[in-house]
Amino acid sequence: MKNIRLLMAVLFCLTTQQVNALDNGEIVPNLTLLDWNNTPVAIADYKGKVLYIDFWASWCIPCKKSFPFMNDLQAKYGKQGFQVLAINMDEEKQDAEKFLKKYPADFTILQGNSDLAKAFKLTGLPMAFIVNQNGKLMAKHSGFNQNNKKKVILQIEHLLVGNR
Amino acid sequence: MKKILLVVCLGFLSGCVSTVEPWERGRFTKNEMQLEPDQMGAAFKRHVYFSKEASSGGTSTAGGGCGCN
Repeated sequence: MKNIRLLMAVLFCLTTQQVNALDNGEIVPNLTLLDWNNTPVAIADYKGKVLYIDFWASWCIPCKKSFPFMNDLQAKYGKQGFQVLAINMDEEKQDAEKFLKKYPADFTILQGNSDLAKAFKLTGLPMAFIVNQNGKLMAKHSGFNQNNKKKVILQIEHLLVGNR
Repeated sequence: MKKILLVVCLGFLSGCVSTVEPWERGRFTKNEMQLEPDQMGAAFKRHVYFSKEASSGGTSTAGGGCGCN
């Protein structure tokens, strides 16, 4: 009986996974990533800017819709202290390259990795994080659809008021 | 000996509980990972099959056996 209890406890520990999402108001982990030309880029380098950090992959269908939207955001708010950082999570870089040829990006593309995804506690792709000028997470959006476009724009505009 | 066996068994179990993270699903989406890698071919085969076997059920569409419906 004692052995069975022990076995049950061990199995419980093995199967239980901690799922804590990065909460709004928390400081976004400062990590250094490689951009598409393998130049190191630190998230802290963008301090003072409103960031839209988007995790994407070539196989993610909604990402095809989010790229034109992010191009629009970058074009509209880029000069006001806003930056889109799109972090690619493809396992094979050539898949991402094919995607980028089809869906060109006018914003910064970074190469992601598993540690980064764990640090941000991704629950799916695409997933976007809106970060304020002080590096604090202000909003997160899991998935991408037409309905949350307005919400994203309002959140960004609200944060950019401080830059005017 | 029993304890060693238990530890070995638990070791095997631990390999079964590792989950695929949401960002690790790229390879699953590739054509070669699909149950039917050739989607068009499979659709055509299904079409021929239900046309020929309509009388035995499976679909509601009747067919004459020519595969041309």
